Amino acid sequence: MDRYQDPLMCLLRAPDLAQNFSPEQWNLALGQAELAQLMGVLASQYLPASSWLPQVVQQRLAWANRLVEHQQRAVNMALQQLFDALGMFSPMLLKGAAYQVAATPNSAGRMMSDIDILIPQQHLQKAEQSLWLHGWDNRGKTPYDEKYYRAWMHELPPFVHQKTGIILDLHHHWLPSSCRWQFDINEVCKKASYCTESSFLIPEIKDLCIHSAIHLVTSGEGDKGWRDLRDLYLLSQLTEREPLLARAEQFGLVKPVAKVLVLAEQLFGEQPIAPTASWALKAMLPAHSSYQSWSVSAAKMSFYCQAHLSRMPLPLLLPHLMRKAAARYAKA
Amino acid sequence: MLKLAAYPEQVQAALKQQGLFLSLPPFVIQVRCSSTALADYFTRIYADHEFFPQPQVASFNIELKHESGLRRWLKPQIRFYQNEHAPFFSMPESHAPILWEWGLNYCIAAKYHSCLTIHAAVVAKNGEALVIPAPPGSGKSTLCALLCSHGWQLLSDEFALIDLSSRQVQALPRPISLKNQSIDVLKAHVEKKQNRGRFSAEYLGTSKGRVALYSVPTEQLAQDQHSYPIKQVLFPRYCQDQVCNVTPISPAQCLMQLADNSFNFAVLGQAAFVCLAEVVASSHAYSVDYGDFNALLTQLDTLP
Repeated sequence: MDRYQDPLMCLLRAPDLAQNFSPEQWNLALGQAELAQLMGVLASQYLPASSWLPQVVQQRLAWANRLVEHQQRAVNMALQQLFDALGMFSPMLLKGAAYQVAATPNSAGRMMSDIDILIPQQHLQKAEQSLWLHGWDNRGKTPYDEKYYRAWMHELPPFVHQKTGIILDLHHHWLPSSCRWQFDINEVCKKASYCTESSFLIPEIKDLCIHSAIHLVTSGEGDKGWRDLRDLYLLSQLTEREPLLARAEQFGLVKPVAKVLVLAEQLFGEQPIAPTASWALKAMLPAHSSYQSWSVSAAKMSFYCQAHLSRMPLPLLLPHLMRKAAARYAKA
Repeated sequence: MLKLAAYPEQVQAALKQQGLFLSLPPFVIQVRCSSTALADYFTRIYADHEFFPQPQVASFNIELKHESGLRRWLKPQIRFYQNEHAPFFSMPESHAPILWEWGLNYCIAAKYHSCLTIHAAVVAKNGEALVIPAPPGSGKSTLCALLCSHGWQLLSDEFALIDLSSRQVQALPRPISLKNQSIDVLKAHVEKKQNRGRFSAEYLGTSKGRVALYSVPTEQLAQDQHSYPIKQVLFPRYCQDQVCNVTPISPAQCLMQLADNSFNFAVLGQAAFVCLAEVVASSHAYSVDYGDFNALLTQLDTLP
């Protein structure tokens, strides 16, 4: 893949090239950005000096910016309510909410679909009850889904706030209990600190990097890959490579983390893309028809399967996937 | 820019190929459609609207696409896509115009955040706007179409687009969507008029029943890209056994109801609240139960 042939990648990496964009290229790039959940990022990057942009581009970026501002307000408000419910369990923010509160460089314009919070496992039951009392509801799952989350996953079934509709994932670990990799999450908690703005714990930068990488590898959601690799690239600029990999080594995660880090550096850094990375990068392409080909579908499928295999051993995974497929078929 | 009615071949070709770049200020809309049903509708009902002969950056990228598979040949269905995302079920191919209208409403409601958007019909007289917010089925479109044939100008039958700083409402004139008996009421009514406007075909068996689109005569349209200060807000309810009962409502109540009918009040946050507070302070609001349109029309002219 040539990073400068792709309109969206051009916008993310090399704003100068966008000056010669045709209307068709703009339509394509903005369509890709919407599906990759990167419109807000483009807005934060381009709106501060936007007079050279075509008027409709400015218009669409301004709409995205309104949504980002709304999301930031909504998340801040939800965090206040969540602290009332969870404050006594030393809650730690993860992913999007952590980036926003710590104002990391990748947080400007970043859209998120839910709030992720981690608390020590021994408090999980009490925390869940407290959330119920504060208007967060996670009932109504099928008995199988309940078992899936509670027995094998690293989080409870997702909560929805009754009034705001905001979704909360309450974690006790970064990795599913059935995951191939395991480590002591207390090590993360020990290094986490309070940021001046917030009463929530925030993992240290190296741990934010490792979580970002490991989440991408275990979720299998390649469609949002560019957003996640961009997170990792910008976060990793705040720390040194060696200590970062040493920290990953300590958790037994150096292999997957190093692999994703290389992808992030190839896509957003200055090195040319190695031929060995091109297959893995295909799985990370946004779900836009302009990227579609049989090899992209195959790469995405393989990435998805590897992610699931890392989450659950095969004897557990096969019945699970069959069950999911049957449920999907019955729904259709 | 070119008028749609004057270039039917270009419109048809563009819809099938790179897309028709329709100018609908403040939007430029790219529309593609694999069925011919939409081209005929556009050249007749959007006759006076304009399009760009060259590709443009578009506010919305819309495509109406045939569902693939056997059905294409047995009972063709089309589906609405906005940037490859399909928010609705598919509909019969002949309903393409309805799908376009509803789809565009969806795009504006979900994505347009430069203005405060409220689900309301808007008409104007003497340069001042009357906003008629109402849930679907309350007769707002019918009322709006009738007002247009009695000296009011159409801003929109679906959206009040309120500018956050000027607090004025922007015109976005499009065809009025009429349902079930309203179609017959309006057809009977404009029959007697000299200048009738144009009705689309009637589309049967949609999720809202029988639907037709009515494009009002040009002189009943508000000016494109023009904004109007809001003079009155009217919450109508059609009741057969009432003649016309107008009750003033308080600014606070009006604000709450406008917010309830808004698509992006929460997204815009405080700016939207401040804007609405100004709107209700400088306008009058009424709730109306009416069964007789003529009585309402006379009353409207006397209300402050």
